[in-house]
Amino acid sequence: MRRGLRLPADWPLTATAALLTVFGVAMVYSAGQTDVPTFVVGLWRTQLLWVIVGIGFGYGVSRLSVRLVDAVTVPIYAVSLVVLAALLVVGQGAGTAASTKSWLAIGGVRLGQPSELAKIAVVLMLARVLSASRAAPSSLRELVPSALVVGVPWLLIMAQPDLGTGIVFVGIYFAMLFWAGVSWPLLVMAASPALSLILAFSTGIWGGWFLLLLAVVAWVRPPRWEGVGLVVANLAMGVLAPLLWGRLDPYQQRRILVFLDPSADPRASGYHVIQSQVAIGSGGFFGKGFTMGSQKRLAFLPEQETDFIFPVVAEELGFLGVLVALALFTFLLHRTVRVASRATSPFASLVAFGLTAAWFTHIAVNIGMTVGVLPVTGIPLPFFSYGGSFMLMSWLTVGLLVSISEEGRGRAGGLVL
Amino acid sequence: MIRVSRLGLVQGAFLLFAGALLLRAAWIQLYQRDRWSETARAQQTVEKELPPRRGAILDRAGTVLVESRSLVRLDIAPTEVRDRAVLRAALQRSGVPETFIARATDPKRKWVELPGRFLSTEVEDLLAMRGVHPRPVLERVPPPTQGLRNLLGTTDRDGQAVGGVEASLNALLEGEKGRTVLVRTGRAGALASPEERSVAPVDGQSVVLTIHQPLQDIAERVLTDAITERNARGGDVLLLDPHSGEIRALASRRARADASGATALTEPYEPGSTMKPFIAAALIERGRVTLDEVIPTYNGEIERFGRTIKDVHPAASMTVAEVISQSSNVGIIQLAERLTLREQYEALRDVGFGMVTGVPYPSESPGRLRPTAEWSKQSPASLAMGYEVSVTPLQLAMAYAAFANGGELLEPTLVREVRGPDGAVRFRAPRRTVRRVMSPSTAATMRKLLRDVVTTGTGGRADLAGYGVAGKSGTARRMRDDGRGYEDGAYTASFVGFFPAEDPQLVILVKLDAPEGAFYGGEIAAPVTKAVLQAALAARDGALELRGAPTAPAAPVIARAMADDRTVVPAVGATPTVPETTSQVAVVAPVVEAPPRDRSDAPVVVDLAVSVSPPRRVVISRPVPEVRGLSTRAAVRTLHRAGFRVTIDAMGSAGETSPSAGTILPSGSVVRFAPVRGSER
Repeated sequence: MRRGLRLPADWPLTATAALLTVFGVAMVYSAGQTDVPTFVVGLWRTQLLWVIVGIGFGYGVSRLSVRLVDAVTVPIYAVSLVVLAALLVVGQGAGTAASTKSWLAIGGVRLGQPSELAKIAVVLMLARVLSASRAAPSSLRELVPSALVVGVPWLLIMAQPDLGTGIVFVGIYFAMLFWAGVSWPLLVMAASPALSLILAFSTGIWGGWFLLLLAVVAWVRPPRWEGVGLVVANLAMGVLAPLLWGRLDPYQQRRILVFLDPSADPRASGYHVIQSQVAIGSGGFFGKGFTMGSQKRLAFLPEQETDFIFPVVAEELGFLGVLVALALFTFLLHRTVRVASRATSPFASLVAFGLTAAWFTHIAVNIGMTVGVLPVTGIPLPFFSYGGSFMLMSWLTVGLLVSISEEGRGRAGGLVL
Repeated sequence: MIRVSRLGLVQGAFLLFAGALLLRAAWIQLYQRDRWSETARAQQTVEKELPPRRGAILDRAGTVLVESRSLVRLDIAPTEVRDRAVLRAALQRSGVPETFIARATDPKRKWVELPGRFLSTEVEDLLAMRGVHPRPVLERVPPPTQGLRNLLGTTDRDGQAVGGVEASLNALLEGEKGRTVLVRTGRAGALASPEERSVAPVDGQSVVLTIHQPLQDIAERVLTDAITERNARGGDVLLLDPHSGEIRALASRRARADASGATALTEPYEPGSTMKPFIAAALIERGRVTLDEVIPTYNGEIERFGRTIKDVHPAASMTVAEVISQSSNVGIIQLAERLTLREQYEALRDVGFGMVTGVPYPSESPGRLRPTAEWSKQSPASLAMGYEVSVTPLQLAMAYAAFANGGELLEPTLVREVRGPDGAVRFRAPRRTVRRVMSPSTAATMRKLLRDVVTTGTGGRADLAGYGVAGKSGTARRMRDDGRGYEDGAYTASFVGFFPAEDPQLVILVKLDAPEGAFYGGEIAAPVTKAVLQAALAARDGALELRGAPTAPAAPVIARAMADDRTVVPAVGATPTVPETTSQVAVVAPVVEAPPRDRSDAPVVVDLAVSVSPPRRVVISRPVPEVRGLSTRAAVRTLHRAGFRVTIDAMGSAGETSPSAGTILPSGSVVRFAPVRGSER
């Protein structure tokens, strides 16, 4: 094969990502086509610029060996932590996250949202920690190092506060534990305090969950102090939850309530959900035509260029557009898991799977939010939502995956597909 | 360390999740589609009523008395404004208060509604700016004079008629509302409407009144002067055509604040001596008296049922003609006694007293004429002198019209024509005879009798040289406002007559309420009559349309009119109207067909061929014609024909002009027209 014509490694993955990017930029363009002119009208050009930058960096990363990536993991992670910590002091709000401190700016020029790149750093660091030992962590105590790797940046991000990105970190963590081979009962136990917290809003459900947890603990028989600590932690969460609820900001409380009943407050928090569903629903099977979505044109759809770009797809291209977008995403995820399963080293495999998990969390939470099956959390849709850092992160991910795929090519790594 | 089984689990989870989202999307987009589409439609559109243009009210010559014109209100969206300095300058030019300019240029505000209404031609520069949102409104331009406002009524802020002709003919004037669907945005303001879902409003019909505006103007001014001069509490001047029953002018004025309507139609009064001719007419009709028959008048004193009745001009005896011309109470009481109660009642009832005339005006008063059963012994004498009966000025003038027209009581008309929004005549008032109340010969006798009143009797001050005026003066004590007895020293002075006496063209009634000082009708109301007629004759615009040449040279008339320092003569050219050349048929606007001068930048100037020299150059202003519903070609032709220049403006509201129809513009102005897409086939 001649060099000049060589297809990129794992070209189906690259091609799918490219298709999604074209699709996405087109939708950002459409998002700017409104009857009431807004600043969104010119954003597609900026987005295109970031695509070029992203593909450039992605290509560069794809030429690196996985081993080199492994080697720079610790410095990257360290830098990420420093930047995230610094953000709490110098961070700025902007755009859809106006009230948070998620933006890094120097001399008044906003450079980007470091939390996007921190996702990759955390994936790399987690992969390194989890692949350091031959066996998967088998006790809660063995989970502590990995929990710290995620926990520190997670706390820094939640302090911004950026709930959406925080959720992605949690998704990445548990997905990578799962991929690292952590046993189901341990996963359940590790997740139990958080689940207790969530379920504590209903005493009955929490009670059932708590009994289930006791059964798991009795079956697994973890070290005594771990077991006791776990039960105490769950009890604390179950009892603390109502107190915490009282400490939530009213808008956060409202978001959770509105998720449970979107029509409860249609002009405020529920407005997003309702308008999103109006846009999607009124699109029908064939949609209203590219750039012709009336919900978007008439400015009923909020954040149509970022968090709520998927309703634009659904309104203008209809169910067909949704089908195509979901098919592309599913194929992309399928290919990334394939990369993870064929990777030559546990580190590479975990990196690939962690990145997959990040994407998956973004896609599932974002689309789930727009169609009204998950609560509204400010979280963008990969390749679609406008945002430079996010586009860069997406293409760095592609680059990393291609790199891993390159090294793992032809070898199934002992895994059966 | 990685377990194989987990791969399948992950792939399965992806598919499951994608499937779940897809199912959810299908549920919303396919199953619930109609529901969400309906929600979208409901929130994205707003149905708006399109107000119809209320019909105009014109005088008989087509002069607009009241009309609705299109104005714009301006809303500013400061965030959309590009250049605030330019906006500020434009707003200052348009006279917007500084506080509102500050708000409109404050980028922190989203929406500012400016006060006031503007002619769209005056704010063209503003309308072209981004962030300026015009809102068309229709404004009823009130009639020019207080007297016309009394007669025509007004409309309130919501365009609802309040009083007058506006109220009584509301059903004709108001038109039908249209509807349009506007597109609404999630932020502020509404955008243009999809054309095909609009229902155009049907404009109201125009009403052409019988009122002749120049004559009305004269009547009002003379009345105002007379009231001021005599320090009267009020007064009425009514002019009508005795042959058609058309009311030509109707001026009413009261010092009282609560009387703002056309009181000549709504406030009856005790007429006094102006009632006497009807007793005479009834006797002449029945052949019970001759004009030269001598009646004893007992040196001006007679007693009836314990009441002594006196004359102002006592005499030992008078002829019947003198009884009328000298307004002898003693004489008329004896004459009335020659009628049975029923005959006297019928004589008054037949000429229309005690019943509404049917003129389209709200709360017209029927006056009061009691049936004989309610009469006292004094009543026949009282009624003969014009007491115990109350009439509206209109009723009395219509009754005198019967003398003037040969004996027919007519129904008064105020509305001459009703025209559709397209200008087509929908209704033309016919001449309606109520009944014949006397023979033509009796009427002729009465005319002579009433002419004598002016030439030899109490009405002398109404006479004009050149044209004979006939009529009767009246002076009556005024009832107190609480209706209990008469007010000391308060009189109603009146004069009713027609003109010219030989071939009456006009019935005129003048009434002054409680004048100070002199109070006899012949003394103060008759000169007012004269002043009105003189001014009307002197007016160049044919306020008075006379058939036949004056019986005396015209010049002395004018000379006398000009010499009389009390006479109000409009400051116009001294050439009197030449009666023969004045058309009897009133032409409704547009008066002059302007020659189309499409390429000229100058306004169209028309040389009006008027009988006065030198010819004056007049720039004609006229309303922009309605072109809604016409094809572009027809619309442009219509606009050209109306003397406007046309530019096509694709951005405007489709099918409409800017400035919109009805706006008064000088001929030659540029009118923008927005064609309806697809209208040219």
